[in-house]
Amino acid sequence: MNDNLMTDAPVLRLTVNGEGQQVAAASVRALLEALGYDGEFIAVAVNQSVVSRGRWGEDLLRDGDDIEIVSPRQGG
Amino acid sequence: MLKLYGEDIASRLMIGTALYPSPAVMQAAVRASGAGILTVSVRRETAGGATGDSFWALIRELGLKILPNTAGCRTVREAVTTAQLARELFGTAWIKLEVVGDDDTLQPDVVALVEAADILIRDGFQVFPYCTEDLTVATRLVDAGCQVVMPWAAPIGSAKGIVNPGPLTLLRNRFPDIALVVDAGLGAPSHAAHAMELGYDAVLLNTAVAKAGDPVAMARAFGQAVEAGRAAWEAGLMPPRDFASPSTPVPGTPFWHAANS
Repeated sequence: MNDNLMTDAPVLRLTVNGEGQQVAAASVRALLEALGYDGEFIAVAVNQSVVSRGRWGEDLLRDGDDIEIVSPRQGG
Repeated sequence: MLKLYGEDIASRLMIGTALYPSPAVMQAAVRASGAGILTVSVRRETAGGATGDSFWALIRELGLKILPNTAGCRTVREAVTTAQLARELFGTAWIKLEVVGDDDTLQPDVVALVEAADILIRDGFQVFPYCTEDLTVATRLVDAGCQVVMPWAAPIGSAKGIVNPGPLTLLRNRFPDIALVVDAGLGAPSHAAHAMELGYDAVLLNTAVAKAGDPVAMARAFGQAVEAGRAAWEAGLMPPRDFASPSTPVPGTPFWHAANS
């Protein structure tokens, strides 16, 4: 885990893909890095609103946020 | 040629990417089917994993048009957000809109479907709604701006074929300018041919190919059935009737006497 991320951001209690997590991350990008999401084809919603890739660097995460991290999958 | 939201599509078969015995079989089956459109979904990614990346690499190799779905969504909000996630992931405004209304039948919640379609169309989406064969629901979807409507043949994965042809024919007659696609419930190539013979513009299927003994051979069979059914529709099918009518000429029949007739 990145020490800079740890020191810069307060620890937030988040729900990530249905599971409780405590993560020191203020932005979506920092969250993905902290949790080890390194796939290229990922989309993210915070509280059921999509956060487009262009906004992943913004400090928009808040304590209690509900986050979905998704990727392409088989479908019919 | 099939036109969906202004795009020319070379094949009238749309095929799903799920439930195949292996990724290689999925790719081979898709190629054998001749399908022009592939359906995919959006699912939670696991931390540290790149499941999505590897699947997406397989899909891109096929070089086909992508139709993401909102499978499994149960509310308007879930479906709208999932559609928006799909647009972000796949870079397409196309969305196969599904809102599940019942766990046992996976019957579409048509009330939520119409509401979600309206929201998504206002948001710039080109919606492919998965619906029942109900005329009023289809009318509401078209009124909302859907240029494609996709009624079921039977419940998803049931392989029953078209259980309710009358209402499907009514939809065809009422909406001559809307692209109609039979989606779900097909089990055999003859079912796909049946849909095409009703004048439907395309069929969408997945399980019948993926779960066949030989998915690649079955995919090819479905592709042929769709072509045959479409050709039959274009050729003009004779209407059914209740009584026999001899195909062999009656005059000149040996031993025939006018007094017998």
